[in-house]
Amino acid sequence: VEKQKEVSAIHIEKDAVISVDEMRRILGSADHYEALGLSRTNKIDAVFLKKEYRKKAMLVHPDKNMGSPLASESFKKLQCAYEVLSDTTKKRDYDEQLRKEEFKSVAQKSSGTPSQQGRSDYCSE
Amino acid sequence: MASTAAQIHLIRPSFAPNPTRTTSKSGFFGTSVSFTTPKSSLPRLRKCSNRRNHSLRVAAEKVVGIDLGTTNSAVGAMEGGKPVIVTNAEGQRTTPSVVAYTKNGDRLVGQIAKRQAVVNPENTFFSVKRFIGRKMIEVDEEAKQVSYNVVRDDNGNVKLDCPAIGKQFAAEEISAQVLRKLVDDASKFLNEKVSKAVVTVPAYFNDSQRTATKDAGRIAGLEVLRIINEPTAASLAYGFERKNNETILVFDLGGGTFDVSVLEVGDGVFEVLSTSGDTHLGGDDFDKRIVDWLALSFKNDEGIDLLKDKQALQRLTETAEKAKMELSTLTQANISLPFITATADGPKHIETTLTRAKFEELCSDLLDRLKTPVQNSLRDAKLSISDIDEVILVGGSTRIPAVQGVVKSLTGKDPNVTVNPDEVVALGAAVQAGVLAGDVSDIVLLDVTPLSIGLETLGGVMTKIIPRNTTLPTSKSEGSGKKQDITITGASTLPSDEVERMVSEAERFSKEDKEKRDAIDTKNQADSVVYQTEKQLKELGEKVPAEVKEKVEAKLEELKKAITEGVTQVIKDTMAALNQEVMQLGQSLYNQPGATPGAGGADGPSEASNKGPEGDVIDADFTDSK
Repeated sequence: VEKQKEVSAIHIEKDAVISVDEMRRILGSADHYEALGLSRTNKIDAVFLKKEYRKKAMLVHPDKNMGSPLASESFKKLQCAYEVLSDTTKKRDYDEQLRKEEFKSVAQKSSGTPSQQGRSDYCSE
Repeated sequence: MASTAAQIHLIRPSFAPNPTRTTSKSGFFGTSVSFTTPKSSLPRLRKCSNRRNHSLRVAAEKVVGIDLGTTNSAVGAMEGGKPVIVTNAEGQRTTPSVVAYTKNGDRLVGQIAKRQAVVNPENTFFSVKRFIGRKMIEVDEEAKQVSYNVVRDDNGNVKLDCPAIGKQFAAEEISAQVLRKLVDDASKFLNEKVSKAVVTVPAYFNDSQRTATKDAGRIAGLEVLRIINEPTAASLAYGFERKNNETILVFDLGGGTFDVSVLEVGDGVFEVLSTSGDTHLGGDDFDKRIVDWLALSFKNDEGIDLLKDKQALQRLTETAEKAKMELSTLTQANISLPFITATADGPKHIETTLTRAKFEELCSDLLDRLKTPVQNSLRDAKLSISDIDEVILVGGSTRIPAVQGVVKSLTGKDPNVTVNPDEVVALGAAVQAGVLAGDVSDIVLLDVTPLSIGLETLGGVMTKIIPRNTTLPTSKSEGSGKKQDITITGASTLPSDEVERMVSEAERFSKEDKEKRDAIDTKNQADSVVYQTEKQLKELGEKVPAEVKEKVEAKLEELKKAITEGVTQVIKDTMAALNQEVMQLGQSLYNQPGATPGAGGADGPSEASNKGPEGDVIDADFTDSK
């Protein structure tokens, strides 16, 4: 019994490491696609999107990481990403915005002024 | 020799609790130890065993799930990887959410409080959940329906008047006492300290009501790790062992509230899609219809309004609830209320029959009110009824055939009956407790409550509407600044210093309670020791050496005096001293050369002195537990 407990303790510790890595990855992601681990160029299947979201939610949800400040921040970001990408209208607007930003940053690079103003993530609340 | 055998036999029982708890070591002590050693060695041994248990317990402290219901409450806990119901001290799986104060100031909680409601209606507090976290102006109707006095305090908040002890309680304090009992009983059942819990509330509880429920936990000395919605909890219990993707509708008709939630379950993720309900609809309302019907026909026949008589009203309510329950399985119920009141002509009785058809007619508008929330929840989830895979019934009132009929006609399918409607919420709360404690790894809940993860509740800030179809938490500042939806209505919850005062008061009461219980136990024990010793002395008669007998009698008189004086510690000390003498008495009999006590004599000491050492063990238990 003791051994089993030890094994499961190691298992939990390993899970915790994976969770923290995932939280950091999500918090460092540049856009909603990256947060969910998707490629912008591929067409997104709704079932696949939901599955990826759930998999990641299970890892970073605050309930699974009691007392971790990274958890709630990364979970919010993940949720926001899913909310936008799972809604066709929000996704369309968001894609549009991403394109504009890219265009701007290319333009700004040539003119030399900083960017990233008033970007909305298209989340409710 | 028979007496020797009896003596050894009488020592064994005093050790009996030990071998079961510790290793064979105590068995060794038990048989070889002399008469006086048990007292000193026992507590030490027990302490050792305690430490052993602690080192074995790797997992963190147990977190329980509590369904704090309007009429009944239940507790669940994860045991062996599964949620189970924790039975209370009376051996029941649910506990009435009732608190009462008797005329001499004793506090009763649960079944014993419910049982005496008829004779003590003004001091018996039930359905308190209807008042928790509410302003007086919000609960005018409810206040009229209870047998105790609901009053308004200086801040417009609800207070419950208790004439028996001349005190006004906040609803939080009454709920705290229910919680305290639930947790105390759970600690006993689980054999470990319980100080953390997940507590459920109706999905339609607002922020004030949630905060007040949390405060009740705090007053009870309980850390409420999370408040979750009742229908959500039900879905956790239902979906705990199912891993397939399903969309489920939870139809929760409890004692006082009606909740509907639509959830999507898959890959271990429980996501609430929508929730809807009616805060003023529950089993109590169905009872009320029967009460009103009985009272009206009595008024027509006798010209007396029974609703004005608190005791009669309480009896009507209890009978109505029983009739309602009977009508779930029978097509008609007999109602018999002898001596319900009296006039100049003599006593009056109620003797009648209620058919299921009549009951359904009386409640037809209540049944109609079940429809809208179901339709709203589907609309909000952007689903049609054909998208629902399962309909789960929760709450005792879903046993009413007409309610099941409404569900069936609304959803076009037979509701799932695999879960127990009285227990499923507590079981689900236990699952969430397991998730938070790290015992359950493959489940996560995404709920839509305003009090969920990441959002702190501010005292007095009340969200007007739960944002539909929005899975919280999301930061309020993101997006289009929807924080305008929040309205400030002034706190209907307790100020924090008042909560602190109640916490310390509850702690003091619980200490007093323990002392009172200890006093009662000690006195009963002492009475029994006196009786047994007197019996033994009488039976042994001349066989006892005079000087030993004198000593025993002296101590016996001291104990009797101590009992009349009633100081617990003095009783304990004198009782211990008497037990010493009784042991000496036993030993003197054993040492008597050629002592051959008769058959009657052999029975006597074994039974009588049996009681002595047993008292000692309990004594050791008290000191140990402090």
